[in-house]
Amino acid sequence: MGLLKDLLRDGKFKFGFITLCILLFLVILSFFSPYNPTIWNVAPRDLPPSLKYILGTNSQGQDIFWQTTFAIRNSLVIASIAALFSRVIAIIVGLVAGYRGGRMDRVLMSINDSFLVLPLFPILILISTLIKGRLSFVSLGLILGIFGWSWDARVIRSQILSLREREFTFTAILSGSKTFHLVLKEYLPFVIPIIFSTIINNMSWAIGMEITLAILGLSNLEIPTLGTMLHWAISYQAMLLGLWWWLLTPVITSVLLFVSLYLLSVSISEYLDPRTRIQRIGIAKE
Amino acid sequence: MRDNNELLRIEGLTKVFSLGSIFSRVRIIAVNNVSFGINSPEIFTLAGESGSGKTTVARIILGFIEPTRGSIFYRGNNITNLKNEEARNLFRRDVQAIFQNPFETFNPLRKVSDYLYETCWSFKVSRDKEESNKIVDEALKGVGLSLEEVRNKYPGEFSGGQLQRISVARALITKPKLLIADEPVSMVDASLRMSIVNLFKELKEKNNVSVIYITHDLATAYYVSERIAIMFRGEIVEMGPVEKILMEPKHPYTMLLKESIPEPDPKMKWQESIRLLTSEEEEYLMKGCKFAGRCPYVMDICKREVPNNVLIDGVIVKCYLYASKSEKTAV
Amino acid sequence: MSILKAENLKSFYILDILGTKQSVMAVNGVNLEIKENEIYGIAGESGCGKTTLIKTLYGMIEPPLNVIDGGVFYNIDGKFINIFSLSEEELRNIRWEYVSYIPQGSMSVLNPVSKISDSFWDFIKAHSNYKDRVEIEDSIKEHLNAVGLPLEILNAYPHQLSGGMRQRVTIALATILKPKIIIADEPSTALDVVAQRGVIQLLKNIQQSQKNTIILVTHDMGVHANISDRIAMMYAGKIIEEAKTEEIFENPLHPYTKYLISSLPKIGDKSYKVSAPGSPPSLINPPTGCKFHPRCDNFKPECKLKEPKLIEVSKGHKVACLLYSKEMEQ
Repeated sequence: MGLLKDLLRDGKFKFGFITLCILLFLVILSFFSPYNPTIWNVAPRDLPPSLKYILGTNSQGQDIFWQTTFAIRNSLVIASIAALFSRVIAIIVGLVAGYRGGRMDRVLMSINDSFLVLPLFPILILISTLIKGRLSFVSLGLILGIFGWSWDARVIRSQILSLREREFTFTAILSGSKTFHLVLKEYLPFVIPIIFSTIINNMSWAIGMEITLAILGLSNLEIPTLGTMLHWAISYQAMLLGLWWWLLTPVITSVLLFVSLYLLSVSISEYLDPRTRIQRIGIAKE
Repeated sequence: MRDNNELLRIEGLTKVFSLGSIFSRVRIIAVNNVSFGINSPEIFTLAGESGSGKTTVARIILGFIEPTRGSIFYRGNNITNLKNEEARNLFRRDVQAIFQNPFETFNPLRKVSDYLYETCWSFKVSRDKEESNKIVDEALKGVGLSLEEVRNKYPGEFSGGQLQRISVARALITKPKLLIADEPVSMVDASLRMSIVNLFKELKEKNNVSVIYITHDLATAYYVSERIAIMFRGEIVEMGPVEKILMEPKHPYTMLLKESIPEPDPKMKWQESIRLLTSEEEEYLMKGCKFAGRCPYVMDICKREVPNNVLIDGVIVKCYLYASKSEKTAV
Repeated sequence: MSILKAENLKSFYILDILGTKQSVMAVNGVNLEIKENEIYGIAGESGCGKTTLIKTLYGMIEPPLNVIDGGVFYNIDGKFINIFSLSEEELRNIRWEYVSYIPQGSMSVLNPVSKISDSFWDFIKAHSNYKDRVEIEDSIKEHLNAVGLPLEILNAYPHQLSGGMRQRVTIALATILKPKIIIADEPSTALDVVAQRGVIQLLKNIQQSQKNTIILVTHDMGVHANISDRIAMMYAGKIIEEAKTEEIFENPLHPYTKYLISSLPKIGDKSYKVSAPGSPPSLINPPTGCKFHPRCDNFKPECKLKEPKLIEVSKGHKVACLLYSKEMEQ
C-alpha cells in the first residue's frame, strides 16, 4: 500500500509499527498457548529464564512468557473497547454540538463538562470495590470508555466551530449540500487526524488505568493482564525474593506498548494533519 | 419605486450585531436601512471599503445571516424568512454566489470537481453520470477551462485565477438568474482580472443573468456595471447610474474614494495629502452622519441627525448638501 | 551614484518533499542597479519572485531559500561590499541604520500588549547607540511630526488604531533611524483605498525629506504610477523590462508589459479590455527559452530556444525580448 510506504519513511512510525507488530505477534501466539493462564501450578515455581521457560516462572507456578501473551492480549482488548466506545460518543457529541449550535450545543456541553469534572479515579475505585471480582474486562473497557469521551468531544466541537466559518462551507451549501452530508464530506477529513491521535492516546490511558486499578487489587485478578501480572508480582514480593524476571517482564512490556502507541499516534496524526496533507497533494503529482 | 420587472428588491434591510458580555454590550449596526432593486438583466455594483457592510448584505440575501429588520423580495415574493426547505432550494437554484478568496472557496481536502458534480445532483440539473459529465464540461468550457484539466485535482493544484473561474463555472451550472459576486477579482492578479470581469459582461449580455458585483475597486466597477451604490459604514450614501456617480460624484465620501484611487497613469498623481482616520470605532458609534468626522463640507446638522435620501439629477444621495436642491425626496 | 547592485543573482527554494528534491527558481538571474535618492519600483504578479528578490536583497536568506549564484552589493562609505561575504553579526550591524525592511502584512508586527511608544523605545534601544531617554523621546516626537503622524498615537495600543494608521506607524518605526535604503513589500495591499493613499503618500514624504532610496514592491500599477521613479517588471524570476515610470506606461515594449498596461481599467474608459491569455508559469518547471513564450502573441520559434537578455534599447529603457535584441543586432 502506498499509504504504508509513505508512513514508513518516518523513523518514528517505523519503530512504533515494528514494536507493535512484535507485540501483536505475541498476542497471536497466545491462542497457541500450551497452558491455561488461569490455572496455577502448571510449571515448577520460581525458575529463572531458561530454554524451556523463556521468561522463567512465577511463584504461582505459571510460565511467564505465555502469561505475558495473554496479558498483552487482554490489555489491548480492554484498551480498544474503551477507545472505540469513547470515540464514537465523542464524535457524535462533538459534531452535533459544533454544527447545530444554539440550545443543543449548550445542553450537550453541560453534560460534557459534567463528565469532565467528575473525579474519575475515586469513582473507578468505588465501582471496582462494589463490583470487584465480577468485573469482566469487557465491562471495564466500557466503563473506561464512558469516562474518556468528554475531552475529545470538546476538541472536535471547536474544530467544527472554526470550519463552519470557512468559505467552503458556504460553497457547499450553495452546491446544495444537506447538513448531514456537509458535515460528513467537508468536516470529517479535518476531524479524522484528531480522532486518530486521540484513539491511540485513549488506549494508552485505558491501559494505564487498568494497570493502576489492578495493582491496587481492584480488578478481577484472575484474568491475566499487564496490570494483574504486576499486582501478583508485587504482592508476592518478587523484587525482594530476587525473582526479577517476574516483575521486569510486565514492566518492560508495558513500556514498549506505551512507547510504540505514542510513536504511532504522533506520526499518524502528523501525516493526517490537513496542513501537511495539502502540501503533499500537489507535490506528489508533479 | 417598485418596478414590476424587478428581479430582486431589498427594503429597509438592517443588521445589528451585539458584541460583548453581560456587563458591556456594544451594538454594531453593520447594515442600516439599506434599500435597492435589481432589474433583469443588469450588473449592479455595491461598492465600499472593508467594514462598509457590503458583504453582510450579500450574506443576508443568500440566507446565511438573518436580518434584524427589513425585507427581501425575489420576483415579487417575500423571501425574507424562508423556512420552507423546498422554497429555499428553488431560491438557491436561481441565486448563486462566488466569493473573494479562491483558495478558501473550496475545501483543500476535496477534489474541486466534486463540488461541480454535487451542484448537478442536488439541483437535479442532470439525471445520470454521463449527463453530469457533459454539463460540468460545458460549464467549465464556458469559463475557458475543461473537465479534462480539472478532473481529479485538488484546489492546491490550481492558480487563484483558475480557481475563481472554476468557482464561476460551478455557480452557473444551475443556470441562475442572479449571481452575487463578492470581491471576485481582488485576490486575482491584475493581468488576469479582466478575463473574469469580462465573463460577467458576457453573462449579462448573452445569458440574461444579473450580477450584484461587490467590490472596493471603482475602476472595474466603472468598466462592468450600469448602476452603482456606494456604501459607507452600513448605509448607502449614493446610488445611481455609474457614469454619473463616478464621473461627477456628489457625496463627499464618494469624492474622497474617487480621488484616492491610484490612477495607473503617471500624469495623474495625487496632489494633496489627505487626513486619515486614527481609530475606526469612533465613526461606527457616531450620531448623525457617519462621515461627519472627516467631511470637508461638514455642517452642524450633519453631526446631529442622519440625513435623508434625496433624489437629484437621477441619483439618490444621502447628504445635507443637497437637501434644499432636491427634485423630490425619495422613499 | 548607485547604492545597491545585484549581479547575476539566483536564489532558489530547495524543497525536499517525500524524498524528491525540487527547486523553486524564484530569482533566476537578476541584474539591477539602484541609485541614491530615487524610488525604485518592482512590479509583477503573484509567483513572479519579487518577494524572494527583496528578501535576497535584504540578506534574509533562511533555508529552504538558498543563494545559488551572484551577489548583492551595498555601497557602504564609497565601497561596494557583497553582503553575502559578511558574517551574521556584521550584517546585523548594517541593518536598520543602513537598510530597513517593511515586510508584507507588517501592521501585525506591532506588539499588541505594548503601547506604541514602548515599541518605538524598544526598537531604538535595540538598534542604535542612543542611551539618553529624553533624547530618544525627543527624536521620536520629531520623527512623528516630520512624517505627519499625530502624537496621541504614542499612548495608544495597536488594536485601537485603524489598519492604515498601524501601517504608517510601522513605516515610521522602520525609518526612525534614517536608513539609506528602505525596502517596502506591498505596504498598502491589505488596506482600503483611502488608507492606502495615506500610506503611499507617507512613503513619498519620507523619501523627499530624507532623500534616501525606497525599493517599493507591489503588484498595483496605480501605486507605481503615483510614486515610483523607475519600474522593473518581473516575470518568472527575471526582470523583463526596466525603465522610467512614464516610459513603462506610455511606451511599454515587452509583450507582457503591454498586456498588463492595456488591461488596467480606468474610470472614464469603457472600452473593451483584455487579459493576458493563460496563466503565470510554474517556477519549478518553467518554460524553456523566454519564459513568456507560451502566452505571447509575437511568438517565434527561437523564443522557445534562446533566453533573451536584458538589453538597453533606448536611454534608460531595458527590455528582455528577442523582438528587440534582433533589431539591435541589425
